[in-house]
This record gives sequence, structure tokens and C-alpha cells, in this order.
Amino acid sequence: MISSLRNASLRQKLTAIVMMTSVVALIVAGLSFAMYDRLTFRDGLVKDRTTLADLVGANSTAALTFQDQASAREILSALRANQHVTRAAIYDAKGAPFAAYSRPGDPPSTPPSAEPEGAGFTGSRLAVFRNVVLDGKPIGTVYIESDLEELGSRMNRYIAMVLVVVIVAAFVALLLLSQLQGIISRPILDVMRTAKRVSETKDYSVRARKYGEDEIGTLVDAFNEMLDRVHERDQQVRTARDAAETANRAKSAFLANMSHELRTPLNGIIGYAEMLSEEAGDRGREDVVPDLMRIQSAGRHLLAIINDILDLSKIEAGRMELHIERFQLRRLIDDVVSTIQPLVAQNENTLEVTLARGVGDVELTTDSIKLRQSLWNLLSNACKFTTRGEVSLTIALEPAAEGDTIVFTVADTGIGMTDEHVGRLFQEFMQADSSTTRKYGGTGLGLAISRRYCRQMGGDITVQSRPGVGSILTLRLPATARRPALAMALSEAV
Amino acid sequence: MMNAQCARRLAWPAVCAAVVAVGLLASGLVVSAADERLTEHQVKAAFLFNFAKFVTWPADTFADQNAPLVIGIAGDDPFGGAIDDITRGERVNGHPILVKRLGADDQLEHCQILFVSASERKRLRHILETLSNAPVLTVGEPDDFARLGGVIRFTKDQYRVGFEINVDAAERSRLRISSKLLSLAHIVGTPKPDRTQ
Repeated sequence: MISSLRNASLRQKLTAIVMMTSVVALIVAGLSFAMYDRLTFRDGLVKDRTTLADLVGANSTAALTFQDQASAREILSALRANQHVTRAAIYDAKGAPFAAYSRPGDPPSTPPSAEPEGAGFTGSRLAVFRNVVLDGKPIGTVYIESDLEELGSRMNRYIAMVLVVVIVAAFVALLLLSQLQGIISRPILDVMRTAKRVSETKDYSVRARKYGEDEIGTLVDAFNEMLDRVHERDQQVRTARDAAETANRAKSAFLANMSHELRTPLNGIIGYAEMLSEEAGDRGREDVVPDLMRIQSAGRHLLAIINDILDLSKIEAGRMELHIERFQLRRLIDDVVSTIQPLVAQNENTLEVTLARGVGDVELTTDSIKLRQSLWNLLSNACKFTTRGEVSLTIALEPAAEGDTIVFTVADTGIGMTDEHVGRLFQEFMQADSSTTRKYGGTGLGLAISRRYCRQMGGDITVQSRPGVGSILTLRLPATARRPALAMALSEAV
Repeated sequence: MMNAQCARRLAWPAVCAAVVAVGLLASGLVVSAADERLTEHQVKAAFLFNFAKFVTWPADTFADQNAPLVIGIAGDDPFGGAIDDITRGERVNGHPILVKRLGADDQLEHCQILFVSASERKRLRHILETLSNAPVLTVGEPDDFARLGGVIRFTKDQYRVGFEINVDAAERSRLRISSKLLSLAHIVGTPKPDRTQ
């Protein structure tokens, strides 16, 4: 019963508690009074019957003295007036029956043998024996037996009364309760409604109403104070977020603009360096050609860096969009492998490409440009940090019910990385070691951009590495880019 | 203490029984346990004594609380000593009982109850006239006893001894007879003197 109350409303709980308490108290009180009344009534009944017996005894002194049984019977027959007297008898001094009476309608029965004075309840009967005394001497005994119907009917009436009182009192209590329970439940419900409204509308300016200076009043105060703080904090956070967003947008815009502004003169530098080197060849000034080629190469490198920054700023600004198309995997591989060859040759590495059976004919549905760029980044990284070693590209297909996954594994026998370096690998502008930047060059943006691309397309890049042994980078991508993955990637990008 | 009380409580009926038994033996009335039926005169003797308990005499009758209540028997005693046995050691309202057998010369006014024996048939009218205003409860047996001014007359039917009471006579004698006794009695009145004469 109590456990079933646990989920009841406050109103129901209050009602149940008050009703249970009052009804139990009323019943206990009522039954106590009934018990007390029963005892009192029994005492009264004994007293009443004793008096009646004494009266009969006093009236029958002459009849006993003068042996007038007829007169004694007549005296007893007066007991007819009390219908609860079932039997009565008068005994002489020796205890022999002298006259007897049975209630009219009852079968006549012989009275019990005379006993000393006293009263006793036996089953449903009250038996009273009283001595008949004349001039100080006992001259006989009177016996009166009564039924206890008075007691029974009185108890029945009493219990009915108690029930009626309990019902009426419960009804009145219920009426009072419906008026008064609001004193407790209203402020609590008010706090509850306010809390609900705050959590639903995120409107921290609403306040719970205070009804009094009790514990609930304190609760309301504390709650409102808490709301004040939350409101204040919320506004601070909003302001800070707005500022941060504005700043971020400004940064991205600035980067985009700057990249564009930087590219224009850079293209000019590269273009004129090309023209100059061609012109120098034509005019037979072969000696300046290598220097002009260095200008050209440095310019292209700077352009690549600026492009990376532009891409990153686009990703950060959430403006990087996927261009999903359907293409053959083999063509993409051929393309990447042919463009990476100069880099492979640069550090005298060898590149080994392994395609699992049938993978070459697989068609992918995803952004081919971004996948190509990611793969190129992985391979160029491997080539960059490996000298006179081996770089391998393995491509496999993992079939699955919810869609196939294509797995590119790029392994090298290069310098490798410590676990600490691996942890920082994908952070923007971070290479494994800042000293590597100076030694190997590069912006450190390649891997970060590649991983963002892959995630955008529903895949990921993971890395395993041991210093001095080499690194294995794994690019996993669904063969068909999925919408949810897209949405997730986009939200992460923001 | 308790034991002594119990012993006393137990002892009393035994003592009473012994006293009664001794009394009955001494009077020569040996009553067997099987047959407790009393003779007519024993019953009448008991009644005579018991009348005292239901009659109130005028306040000036007794000199003090210990003054005896006198039961007189005028003439021959028909009870054969039974009245002595019954009244021995008894007190009514604190007054000891004194049984007197009275001859023709004795004063009858000093009795509170006077039984007029059948032997006094001739003197009856005289006795009753003498005592008509005295506080004496006159008891007799003749059929015209009450009519002549006697207060209580023994009657007898087939089964039991009864009595009739002349309430006028009792009133004249300033005797107050309990309604309980009256309720058992056949009530008569004295016919008007002018009608009897």
C-alpha cells in the first residue's frame, strides 16, 4: 500500500496519509469507547439485576416465612415486565426450590441449585444469586437469569454509530482536506511547474512564487536564487559564445580572403618564374635556370600551404561541401600512384601497391577529389619520412550487411613515432616534432585535413607506429557515403 | 486470618444445625431426615412467632430496646412446647422473645401477641372486648374470632395453614401490619357493632 503510493501525486499522498491517519484514529477511539461502554454496561446490568433480585427477595420474605408458594410465584411473575429476564427462582433457607419462573414463551426449565450470593456471566446469560434476609437472618435465596440481548444490541448500535461517525468524519476530513491541502501542495506544485517551464523553454527569467516563510518558502528562495545564477551564467555563456562565433567567422573570413589575396601575387611570381626559366633556356643562360626553378618550386610549395589553409578554414567555417559521385576505384589509384611517383623517387624509396582480388573493379560512391587528396597526403607523408625504404599501399574490401567498407593501408619503414607523437598527429599545424618541420618541411595540415575529410565521408584514419621501425596509417571509408554519416561529420565539423 | 474466617463461616451452619437438632430432641419431637413435614400446631407455633416480624407495635409499647416481646398463651397450650423451641434465643427487631402461659387471673394487656386457646371459648368475647383498643396482636382459631374483634385467625384448608386478618381490629389496636403479610392473608373487617348487636 505504501509502496503503491510512491508514484502517486502529492495531492493523493497528502489525502491518503491524512485519511488513513484520521480513519485509523477514529476507529481505534470508537472501538475503545465501545469496549469501555461494554464494560460499564455489564457492570450496570449486574447492578440492575442484583437490585431486581433484592427487590424480589424483599417482597417474598412473608411468602417464604409463611410458606406461601402461590404468593411467591405471583411475586416472581411480576418479572414478566422485563423481557430480558429468562428464568428466576426463590429457594428456601435450606436451598430447596420454593418458587420458579420462566419467561413466557420459553420452555419451562428447572432452575439450577441454589448458590451463594454472586453474579456471573455464563455464555450468553447473566446469573445472579441474592440472599433473602429477614430481620438479619437469611431465610432464602433469589435467583435471576437474564439474556444479554441488551448488551448485544447495544454493541451493534454502538458499532453502527462508530461506522457512521467514521464515514461522516472521513467525508468531512476529505472536504476540509480538499480545501487545506493546497497550503502544502500549491507552493510545491508551483516550484515544480516553474522548474518544468525552465527546462522546457530554457527561459531562465521565470521565478517560482513564494507563499510563506516555511521550509517550502526557503526552497523557493533557494530555487529562485539558483535560477538567478543560472540566468546570469547563461547570459555570460551566450555572450561568450556569440563573441567566439563572431571571432571564428571573422577568422575564417580573414583566412579565406587572405588566402585569396596571397594566391593572386603568388600565381604571378610562379608564372613569371616559369616564363623567366623558359626565356633563360632560350637565350642560353642555362646557369640561372636552377635558381629560377627553385623560385618556382618554393612558390608552388607556398601555394600548396595556402590551399591547405584555405581548405581548413572552409572546414572550420562549415563551408566544405562533399561532391558525391560514382567512380571506379582503379582509376583513382592509378591517378594517385602516378602523381606520387616524383615524391617516391625523391628519397630513393620504392612503392608497392597491392590490390586484393576484385577490388580494382569496385565502384565507389563518395567524394573522389577528397579521397584522392587524403590518399595522396598519406603517401606523401610516408615518402617524406622514409629514406631508401619501402612504402606500400594495400587496398582491401570489408563486406558488411549495412554496406561495404574500403580499407587503404599505407605502411612505411621510416622514422616512426612515439605514442606521444601519435596522440598529437592529427592536430592542426602539429607535426610529430617541431624539429621535424625544420628538417622535413610541410605545414602539418595534411593529416588533419585528411582525417576531417574521411570523417565527413563517414570514415576515419587511424595510426600505428613504432619509433625507428615505421608507421602504418589506415584509412577506412564506406564504399557508399551514407547520409547520417554525412550529417554527423558536418555537425562535428561545426 | 483467612483460614480462621473460613473456618468460622463453615462452622456457623454446623452450629445452627446442631442447636436445632438438640432442641428438637429435647422437646421430644424427633423428626426424621426423610420426613420433615411438621404438625399443624408446629406450623402454627412458627407462624405465631413469625407474625412478630411483620407487625409494628406503637412506639410506646417497649420501654427500651432490650424489653422483651411477650407472646402470651391464654388457656391451654395447644403447641405442646413447640413455641418455646422456636423462640428460644430468638430476637425480633432486637427484642428477646418471652413466652408466657396465662391463667384467668393474669393481665393480658402486657402481651404483644396473645394466642387465645380454644379452651377460652367462653371468655373469648370478654377478652377481645378488653383488648380491643390495646396494642395487642390477638390470634385465635375459632371461626368467629375475627368477627368478634380478633386480629388474626388461623385458617386451614386441605393442604396448608393460612390466616385471615381483621384490618379494622388491627387499626383499633394501633398495630401496623406489613403489606407483605396482608398480601398472604384473607382480609376481613369487623362488622359494624350496631349491626352485630
